[in-house]
Amino acid sequence: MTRITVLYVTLAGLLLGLAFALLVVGQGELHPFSVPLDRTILLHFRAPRVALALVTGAGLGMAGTAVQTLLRNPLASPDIIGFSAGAAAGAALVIVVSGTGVWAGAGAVLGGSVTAALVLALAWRGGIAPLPLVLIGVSLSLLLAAATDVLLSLAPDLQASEVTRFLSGSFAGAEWHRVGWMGAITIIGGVFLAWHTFAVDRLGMGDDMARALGLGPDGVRIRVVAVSAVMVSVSVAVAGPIPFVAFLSGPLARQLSKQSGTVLLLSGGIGAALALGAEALSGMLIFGAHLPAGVFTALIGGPAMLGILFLNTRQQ
Amino acid sequence: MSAQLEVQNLSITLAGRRVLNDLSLGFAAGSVTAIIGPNGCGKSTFLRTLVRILDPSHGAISLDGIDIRNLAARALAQHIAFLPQTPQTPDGLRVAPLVERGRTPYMRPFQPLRQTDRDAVTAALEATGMTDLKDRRVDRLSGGQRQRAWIALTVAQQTPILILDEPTTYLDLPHQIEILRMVRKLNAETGKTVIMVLHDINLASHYADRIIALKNGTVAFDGTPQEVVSAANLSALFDTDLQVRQDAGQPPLVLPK
Repeated sequence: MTRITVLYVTLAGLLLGLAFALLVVGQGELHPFSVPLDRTILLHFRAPRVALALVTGAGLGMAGTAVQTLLRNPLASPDIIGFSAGAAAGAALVIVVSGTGVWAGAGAVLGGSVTAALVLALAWRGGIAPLPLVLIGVSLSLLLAAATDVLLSLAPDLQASEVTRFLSGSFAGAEWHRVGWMGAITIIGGVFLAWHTFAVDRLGMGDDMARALGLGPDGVRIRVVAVSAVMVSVSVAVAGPIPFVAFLSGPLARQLSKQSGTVLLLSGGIGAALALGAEALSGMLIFGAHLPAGVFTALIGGPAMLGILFLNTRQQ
Repeated sequence: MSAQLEVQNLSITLAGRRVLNDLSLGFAAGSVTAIIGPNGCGKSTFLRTLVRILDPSHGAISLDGIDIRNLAARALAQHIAFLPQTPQTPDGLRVAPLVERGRTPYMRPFQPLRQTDRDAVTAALEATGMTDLKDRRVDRLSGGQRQRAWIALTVAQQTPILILDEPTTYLDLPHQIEILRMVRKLNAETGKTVIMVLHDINLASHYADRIIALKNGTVAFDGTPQEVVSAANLSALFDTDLQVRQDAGQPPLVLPK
């Protein structure tokens, strides 16, 4: 068996094992075939959480690796260059202005998309150079995080707590219609990104080489950034910000598979595993409380980011 | 394989500066041309314009009589291969997959390599002596080997015209000679038209049929190495006192004065 086959088999086993544990064992064993109440718990509470974690993680993983490869920079994932922060700020704004959480999802999608458009527009210099785009994205990300904080402190208590709840990314409030939205976006976006990996991987040789081979770097950048931004924004809309999944999946997939380029499918699988793992951890009692999944991905992501930076600087 | 490349009244303005000024040149099919000139004379700009990375401000470039602006990007890439001065090596990419990327203008997403593509890659690896290194990581090759891998990519592109931007930069003398010999051999065996920017005039004289000297965006001199490489011409071209030693039957040799 090749390395990549072993990886896929291991990953599939891990996903199935985690899903099974979360669905049937979870907090108390279920007997869905003999006990009707257990069936209800499985179908309406546990299954949508697991499904939402899977599709959200996969979408984030694929969007992340596509943008990182496209911009030739492991730091340039959508959650670092402002798309998640834009979605979060959009949701917070809508909650505070409307006074309810009903339209938060729409606010997230709008916020993330507008941010992506703004990053592209500000980075445009008769073409899109990767490094300015990353720097502009990081600056906007910090700005938007500050704006969200301002909204949070200005908001009345009720809205503020709604915003806080939304901003702690979690799969706890999963419902089937959210799973449907995210699943559709993950599949459509995934196929679109898969089509573009042909060009994205070749952009890794530099713009001149890509053009000499008949490709159009700017068009590819705009389309891939736009689709990734929508994928990330919808993920924020359905689950809140789940930090670092988009950032980590691609580098992990490349390290483990020893492959070069986007490694899209494997990155999606690893993203799903990260999200599901965080969901499993959030089901455990820690100091007598359940922490949201986003806390765990952040706890893994921070040190991992340091590790990747360390490895990168050591190689150079 | 033949394709006639013609440049008519080409001018380029970049950031308000006229980089190329009214160039008109033709490149005979099957010839090897070296472009020389001082830094900033517009050599790289000229090559990048030939492959439509830059658009002319005035004038036109035609391939077999067709304006290249009217060609699809893929069609152009099937006729002209271009190796930039410093292409970026993706982390961890191996030689064979790199060379396969030369088939890009013949491929579509989701479409696996066809037999013709695989044959072209095998032949390109063979022609550049990279067959034994095809499973190595490109970023771990020596400078000379890496340059051969990049040239293999352009060979796999199977174009009648090959354009190289300073293919010998960063290489020591034996590897510079190795690369230029290989280019000459590709020209002899496949009839490829070669246009390359070179810094070393002695090597240019040795390996090119024709030398074009650019200065301030215009053609200063154009002809065979014997015609172009003279003490008077080069001293004027580089604003430096140079002498040229000319032995019968040998390419001219440039030396400081």
